[in-house]
Parts: sequence; C-alpha cells; structure tokens
Amino acid sequence: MLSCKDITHIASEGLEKEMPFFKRLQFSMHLAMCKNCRHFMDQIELTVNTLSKLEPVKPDQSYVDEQVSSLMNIAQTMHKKES
Amino acid sequence: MKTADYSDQDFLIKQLLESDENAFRYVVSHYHQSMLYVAKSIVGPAIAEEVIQEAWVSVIKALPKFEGRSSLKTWVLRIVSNSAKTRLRKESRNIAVGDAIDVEVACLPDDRFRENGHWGSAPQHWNIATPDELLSRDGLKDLIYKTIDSLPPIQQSIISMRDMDGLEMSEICKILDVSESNSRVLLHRARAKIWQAIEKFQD
Repeated sequence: MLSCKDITHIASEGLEKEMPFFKRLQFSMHLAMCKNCRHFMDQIELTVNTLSKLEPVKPDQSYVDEQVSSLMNIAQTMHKKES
Repeated sequence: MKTADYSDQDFLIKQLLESDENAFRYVVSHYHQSMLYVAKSIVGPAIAEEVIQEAWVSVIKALPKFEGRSSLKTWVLRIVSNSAKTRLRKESRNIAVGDAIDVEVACLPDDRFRENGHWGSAPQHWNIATPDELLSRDGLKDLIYKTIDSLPPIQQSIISMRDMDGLEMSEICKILDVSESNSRVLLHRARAKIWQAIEKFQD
C-alpha cells in the first residue's frame, strides 16, 4: 500500500503515465481514497502546465545587442571566406 | 505589411543563413537562458558564458548543414553540451553531471508527513483551475522565475528543457549525460520546489 509520501515521490511518473501496471493500480487506488493526494496531484499538474506557458527569461538588452553584433561579425566573416 | 514570424523555424533558419540581424536577435533572446542552464550544468557557472560563445561559433559554422531532424533549439543545446564537454576534456576535468544524485532524498520536507507516511500538513485546495488564472496573480510569475533561479543548475536545465521548452526526456538525457531515472528524480524535485513556492504564495 502506498503512503501519501510515496505518492509525492512518484507524482511526476503518474503525470507522465509511465508506471508499470501494478504500480499504476496502487497509485490510482490511493488517489481514489485520498483527497489530500488528489489536491497534490492536481496542483503539481497545474504547476507543470503553468511552466509550459512561461517563456524563458530573456537576457538584458545590452547583452543581446553585444551578442548579436558579435554573431553577425562571425557570420559575415564566414560568408566572405566561403565566397 | 506582414511582420516576420521568427517562431516559424524554417523561416528563422533561412533568415539566419542570410545574416538577418533580427533573426539573430530572436535566437539570442529566446535560446540564451536554456543555453546558460546547460552550460552551467556541465562546466559550472565560472566558464559557462565562454562555453556559450564557443557554441555560437559552432552553430553558425554548422547551420548550413542543419538537417532539421530535431528542433533548432534542441540542436543548439546539443552543440552547447558538446562544447562544454570538449572544454572539460581540455581542462582534464571529469564530466560531473548526474553524479552523486541521491535518489532517496525526499522531494518534500519530512515534517509535512506523519510517521506512517501520510500527510501531517496536507496541501489545501487551490481556488485556481488554470495556468492563466495562476499567472494573473501579481508577482507569481516573478516568484516562479526566482524559484527556478534558486535551483541547482542541473535541475534548472532539466525543468526548463522539459517543462518550458517541451523536449523529450530521452533528448535531455543525451544533452546532459544523465541517466533517465536520475533525470526523472531531478525533474520531480524541481517541480516540487516550484509547487511549494506557489503553495506558500497562496497562503
């Protein structure tokens, strides 16, 4: 029988539907009986879905400007060598 | 006039090959954070930025031969990983990613549970059903970014590649040289940390 602590350990496996049959059965049985773990699973799923909506943090504008100028130079130098 | 859509990968690659400044601006803005996480995971923070510079040179050199078998971002992250590993080899350092991962470490503090393993301090119901509702809360987006920032580099890498960029776990394992079981443990620990931060925010 899985405990609530066990459920919190394997929650991501549960979300990604990658459990062997008997483990999945035990997992589902526990969730059917335990409101607290259902809350936990719903909230972990919401957390993951929220992360998928976030864009990665963008670097500072000055960093982007500097980097772009350096990459453009490299690209143009390479094109010149090729032609 | 139609605006250029750099999120269209074929268009983006075509523009990069033509040295379109805005295309470079797009990739630097959108890829840098993930590149930094991968580099930091493999070589550590001190030389991660140098590794990124080396990787960009390789990306520009190899771009005409890019075959599109993965997304451009995945391909770029693989190049960062290769640059980082080459750098480690040059410095005769071992690749340390994925070492010393203690799979027994709990993802939540023990004091949340009673001795029998059932909840002592159980999660409360959230009156929020969607990511949009969650993100509409003032300060929550910043809190999530800050929490990701506080994670160990390997967890930052895995959660950003898996949950934000949508890479397959098998691809992430190859990029970071981590076993599938370890990467799953690390991903779950990172998710649990973010869940705890959101839970605290709700109180």
